[in-house]
Amino acid sequence: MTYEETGSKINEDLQKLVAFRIETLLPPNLKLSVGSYGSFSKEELIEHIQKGDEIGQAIMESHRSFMKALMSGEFTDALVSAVQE
Amino acid sequence: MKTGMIITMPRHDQVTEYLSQFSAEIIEEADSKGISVRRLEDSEANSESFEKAVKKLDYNFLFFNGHGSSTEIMGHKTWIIMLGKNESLLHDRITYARSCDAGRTLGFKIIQDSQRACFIGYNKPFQFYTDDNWSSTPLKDNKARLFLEPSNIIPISILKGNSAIVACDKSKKAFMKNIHKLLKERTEGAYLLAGALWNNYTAQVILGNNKARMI
Repeated sequence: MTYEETGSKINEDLQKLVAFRIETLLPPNLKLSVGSYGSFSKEELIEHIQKGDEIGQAIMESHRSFMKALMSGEFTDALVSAVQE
Repeated sequence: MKTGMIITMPRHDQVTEYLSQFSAEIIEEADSKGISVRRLEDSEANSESFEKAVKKLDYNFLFFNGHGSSTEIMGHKTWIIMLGKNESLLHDRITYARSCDAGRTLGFKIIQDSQRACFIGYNKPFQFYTDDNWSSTPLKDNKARLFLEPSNIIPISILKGNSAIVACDKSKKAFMKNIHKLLKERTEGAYLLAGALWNNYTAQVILGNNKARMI
């Protein structure tokens, strides 16, 4: 697989993962406001992610960043530091 | 420069309605401290009214609610601050922009041109969840409160006389404490809400004179 193909596959997997997480975890009465893009219901969020448009990319980037922080320990360090105080 | 706060409170969509309503406690804090506040509400949240207010009152703390981009801070359906047009109005003052992305480019330009200026904002889209059950009474929406209370801590802390950096630290801690609360209580959707709080925690930036105080 080339570098570009790998990147494209990762993005596709991330799309599926984020869409699945929102589908299974987000209560139907909650909406997410994303910057200047507006406010989105569960169904709208999944639609944007599946389209991979600007809004979808912004949401996926946010999830990617959070997962990276969890895996690296950055999130745990920040949480422990805040709670200890 | 005089001690006082100019606050913009546009209300043309659900997002700005929430931001403006949650700003009430900030105005209460200013009132309790006897600090003058000039509110630019609804359609008055525009560049012309803002410029008049800044020039006439010369207040040292500016708090913007609204949408934004890397080069603009928006008011009520129009821009209030635009890079290349009127960002000099923010020189030498403390600015808190609860507006997306303004911390990416606009903020840097301001502190580049003004050594005394301090700019606090976000370098990624600010996120918050809202509960449809409370959308007509935002102040009762405890999901939105998880996000907007920590961001309120910045102006409240500055109004109490803390430096900008202390205000930001308090705000960031509050975001993390809310994450801890969500995960501990296993609130429905906790993981997703925690992710959005983390987004705001990491996106918050303070640029320039971080020891700046308004009092």
